[in-house]
Amino acid sequence: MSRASMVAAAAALPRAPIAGIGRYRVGDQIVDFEIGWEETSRDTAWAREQLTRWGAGRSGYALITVAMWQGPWVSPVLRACREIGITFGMADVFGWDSRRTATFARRLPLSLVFGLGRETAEALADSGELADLLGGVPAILAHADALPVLTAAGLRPGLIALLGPALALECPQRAGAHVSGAEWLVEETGDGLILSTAAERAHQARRVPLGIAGSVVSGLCPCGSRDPRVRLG
Amino acid sequence: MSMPMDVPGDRYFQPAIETMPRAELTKLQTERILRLVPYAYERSAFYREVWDAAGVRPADIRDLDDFARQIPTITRDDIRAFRSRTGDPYAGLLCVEPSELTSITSSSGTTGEPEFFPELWEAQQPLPVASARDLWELGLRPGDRVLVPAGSFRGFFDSFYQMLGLVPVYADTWMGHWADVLEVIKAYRPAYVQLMGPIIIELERLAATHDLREAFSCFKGASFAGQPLGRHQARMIREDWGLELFVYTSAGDTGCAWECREHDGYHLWEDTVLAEHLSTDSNDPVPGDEVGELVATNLDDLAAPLIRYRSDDLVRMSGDVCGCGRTHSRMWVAGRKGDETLVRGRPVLVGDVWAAVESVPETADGLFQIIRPGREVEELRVRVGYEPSGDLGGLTERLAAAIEERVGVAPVVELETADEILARSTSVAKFPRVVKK
Repeated sequence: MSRASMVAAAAALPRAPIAGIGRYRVGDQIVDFEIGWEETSRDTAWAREQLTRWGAGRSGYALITVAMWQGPWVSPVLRACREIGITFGMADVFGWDSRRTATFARRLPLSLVFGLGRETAEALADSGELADLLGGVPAILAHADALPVLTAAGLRPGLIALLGPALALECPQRAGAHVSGAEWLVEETGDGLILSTAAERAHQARRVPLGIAGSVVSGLCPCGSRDPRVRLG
Repeated sequence: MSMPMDVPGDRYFQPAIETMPRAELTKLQTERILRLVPYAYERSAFYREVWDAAGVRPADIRDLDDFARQIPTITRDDIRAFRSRTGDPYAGLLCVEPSELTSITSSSGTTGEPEFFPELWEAQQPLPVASARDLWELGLRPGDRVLVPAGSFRGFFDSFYQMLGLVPVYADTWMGHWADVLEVIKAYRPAYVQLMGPIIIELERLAATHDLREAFSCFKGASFAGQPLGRHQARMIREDWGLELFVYTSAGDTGCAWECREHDGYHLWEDTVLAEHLSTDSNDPVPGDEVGELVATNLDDLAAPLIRYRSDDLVRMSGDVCGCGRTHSRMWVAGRKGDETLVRGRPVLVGDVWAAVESVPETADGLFQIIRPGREVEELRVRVGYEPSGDLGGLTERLAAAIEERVGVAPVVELETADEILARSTSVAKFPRVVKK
């Protein structure tokens, strides 16, 4: 078929030296970071573990709401969806695109919604449909700014946090957002969380202040993970 | 007939396919149609119902003439009606088990609820991949950096860029962020970005304080899609900012059709789509230089192929070899079938209102919407976005006069600021020109 032939033709091309360039904000400062190929594979494997804890499996449907600039954090999640075999839909994060999220939720028996942000949550709440549309979804992972709206509607979302270049995801225990301990070292200080790389990555961070208030929980999570967990605020 | 083995060359990404002689293209299309028809009949409840009602069986289809003469055309309303009646989220189009699907993207939803595009990555890669030939023609090559587009609803593009050896730069390129994006451009000198209407409005404002020609000097090109581009904006981008713009459009919801470097029509990749050019009120073909409706059949989709799908896109078409050397047909978009408004029986076209709005300096960006509860109305209501600076005295009256002169109907003009009217967007890709309220 034709698209397959395009992929085959592209296979003759040299691979780019890095997988991409991401950006994160600390206060008023923007920090750019390169993303390497090897850590992309490791991040995908880690994301797969987290999604599996939420019950993501081959037979289900996931909806991923994401903006393209969030790729450094969400691309491994999408790759993990493909590896797991869960069919994933895509919707934008803007409030006016919430009807796309609503359409997916109305038409498909979603088992996972990943990436909900404040704009989408508020738009669905304003329409009066939030609880009806997402009440039956067993796994919802949302950004911190969406949590108040979702919990007010009776939903029990898990937390997604972008900690500088690192992704943190709560497990179904909802006892803090896991950060890959093999990749990152997170410390709490009186001035907020600081982050360092613990593995060889294209971007090396050494005790970078994140400008995010929170605490770090160590030790075994009831879900079985030994990854450190972060509680915001 | 199998696909020829191709490796990217200086100009063509797949030289053998892109310059395939017409007779070979027709042979390839015939083979694919003859596989597609029984495949869809056997697996799709929708096609089985529609074709049974028309009294046609797969065995009746032996060549492209049989296909064009006997297979019924379908519309978006037919698909919606099937879904509404059966409750099937895929409207009976799905030809594989739902669990086999990799992903589902959806249409912009400008005219109603978004329609699903189920994707089966093992068999055919998702939509972004289908632009590989077009981005190669634009000039992108391995090692180039590219800015990611803003929206994700038609798929996540980074793995596609990586497939081409490109380095995605994950900056937020949606409107409101371009002062920052210009800093990113200065730092990383990317070669490509996708522009959309609201972004161009923002860049026009930033041009007062930034040297956009210098900023864009590193670009090999930019793409633009989702809506027609007004003459004012096109001139500004190409001449003032020095950006070579590659406009693309939908190939009847089967993929995309892009301009090449000749900028003379949108190339339809005919190994992926069988494009017919039919009368809007019958299944009769119309001559290529006359406006007809694009009716598309997806030749490269095993998940939920559209077969003889009436796109509502009014186009002219040509099968002549393009100046770029490609043999695949080109089309030129004249408008949308449903966008004609009858005001007390007098037809008013979006393009005519557009030209009038563009002719007034304060509204030269062409931000407007025709407001109508139905196709036939008693008065022409036009909502127009303006830049809130300078003296706006008499703007409403000047706009009304310009529109009346162009379309022959005195309109009721409602003014909003550009930001207010842009907030009425319903997708990152499209700004609706005809709305109900």
